[in-house]
Amino acid sequence: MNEAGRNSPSRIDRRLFLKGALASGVGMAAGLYWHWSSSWPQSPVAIVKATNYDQSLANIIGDGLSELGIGRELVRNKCVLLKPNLVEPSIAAPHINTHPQMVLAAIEVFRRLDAREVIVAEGQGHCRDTHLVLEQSGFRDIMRESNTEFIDLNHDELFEADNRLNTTKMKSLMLPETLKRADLIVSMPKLKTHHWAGATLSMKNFFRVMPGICYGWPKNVLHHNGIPQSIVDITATVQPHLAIVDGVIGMEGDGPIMGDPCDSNVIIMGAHLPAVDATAIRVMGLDPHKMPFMQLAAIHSGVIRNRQIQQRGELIAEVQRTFRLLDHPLMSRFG
Amino acid sequence: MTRPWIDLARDQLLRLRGDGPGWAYRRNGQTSVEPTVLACLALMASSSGKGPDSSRDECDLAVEDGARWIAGLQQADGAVGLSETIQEPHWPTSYAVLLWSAVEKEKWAERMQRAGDFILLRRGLTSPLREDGVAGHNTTIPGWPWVEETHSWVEPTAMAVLALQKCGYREHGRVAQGRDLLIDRMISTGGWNYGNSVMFGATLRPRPAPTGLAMLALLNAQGARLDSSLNYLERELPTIRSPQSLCWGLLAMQAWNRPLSGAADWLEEAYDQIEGCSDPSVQLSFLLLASGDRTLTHLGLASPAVGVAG
Repeated sequence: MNEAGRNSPSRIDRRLFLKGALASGVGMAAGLYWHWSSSWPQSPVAIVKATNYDQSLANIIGDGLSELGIGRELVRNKCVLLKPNLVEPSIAAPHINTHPQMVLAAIEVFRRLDAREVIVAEGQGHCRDTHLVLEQSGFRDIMRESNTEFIDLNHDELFEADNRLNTTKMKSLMLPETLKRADLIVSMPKLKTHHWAGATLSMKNFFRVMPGICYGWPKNVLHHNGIPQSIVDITATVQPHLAIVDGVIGMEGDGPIMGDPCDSNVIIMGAHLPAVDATAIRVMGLDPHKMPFMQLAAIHSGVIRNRQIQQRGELIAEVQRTFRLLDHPLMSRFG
Repeated sequence: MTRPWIDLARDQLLRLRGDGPGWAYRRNGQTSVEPTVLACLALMASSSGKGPDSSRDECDLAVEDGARWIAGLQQADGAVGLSETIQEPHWPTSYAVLLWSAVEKEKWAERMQRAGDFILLRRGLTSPLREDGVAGHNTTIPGWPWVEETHSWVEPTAMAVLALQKCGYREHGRVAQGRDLLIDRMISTGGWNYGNSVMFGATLRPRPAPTGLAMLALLNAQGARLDSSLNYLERELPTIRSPQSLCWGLLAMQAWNRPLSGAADWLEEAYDQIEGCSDPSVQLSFLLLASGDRTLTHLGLASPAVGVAG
């Protein structure tokens, strides 16, 4: 293991600075998982309406970030990594994945905010052939058109990081080197139900930073270690900075890949991922307290209680649309 | 196939090795086992025997270096990891066998034997059959996993079957189990994906690359009813230009005596599209393997397919 590569001081300094800056900018304390206090200030989550992918999504996302107090001051000269969900693309079922227009819009937004560079990265869990994924998801064209680099995290150079939370037995995690290149890691999941986790959102999105050459296709190691536990361990170790959830068209029913499209018409954003996911689950008409990964996040100082989340933009009640769960006895625990 | 892009691709692949002993997944990345095996097999399979002696010598040296470098990584129990610094998981062991057996079987026989013995002992986790309709496949069949102490999946099982056949274990019980697993994981409408055919009652979607690999591993499997999978590849391959999917899909069609007439054009189009990609050595390798005259021979699959029921 390369000691110099693991948690290099320069990277930690940059990231701690950014957390502090975000904290002062949006009224959220730093140290996501390490301290719990019921007296913490509220975590803001912005909900903005978006009815289709032909709108000016860049303006909508930009407005949402403004609601959160995230602007040029925090993004200038940073390397921004956008992490979409491309679990298993299918031309016949585009609602499986983060829509390419969402990512294109985010690229535009961060470039407007003077990011030094914006890259897109994914380590899809089912289909090993990344070029096929890019081809069938529409991402190949938008990467070329926008002159944006795409990184295949499944086959990236590797470094080993200590598991920061250790709710699983995995003492360390093998992570892609590209994470060290990024100053701002942005989770861009799809708003979907999930037949094992209840919902797959900004935190579960980080299953797919785990390199497939180490964890397989699917990343079965994570399932064997417990899905909720793996979700929080990975998120706590990677420490993403922001989530932008594509809920313009979500997925209900048998998520994450065989469900039906659902016109949820929202984009949900925030800097504290447990709060974002909790809000997204409420928008889906479901209860985050019934989902084990949310319960675990809360145990480890994740903010998921509604009263501790400062909702900005639209109210949940005004955009809520009940997502149908898969009709199977195992799903009753989530409903 | 003798199109100009093939010679260009071979030269590019050789250049990408640089001064190292092998090839990496990414440009300027760390030399790793799988891309090295793919590149070596690709150079061997696409060699026409023509061209200047210097070019052939350079290829031969690169392949020899690759095989030797991988031999140096082999662990005491016969396993081969990802690279010099990442020694597990051990699924690349199958790839190592395929290279050693193709380069000079006698020279690497001892290495192959140890690797084959390791692969024989390795098995994916099994579990009792569920009655709740969650998994649609037989979870009791032991194939091969990506990572120790996890379930079995299509690609590592297919590669293990191919490797064990090259080690002389064609009739071994473990190979039979591997084939049984692959048959079991086939999607009812044809084809394979990573290894789940049905989940929660929903039939999942096939993908070309695992379909091709499974079909190669099942070549000559007695009584295998694989027409639906061949039909799937026949429909799907003309619509894609991804080198990996084209490679395994086209090789499978060739092995099963159903070559596709547009293949040469598709491969050339795919070559044109990979310019500037971040993983050129792997993509070039797949394209050269797909177009190579000796790929199936190197994989131990030169015989025509038998056992295809209607």
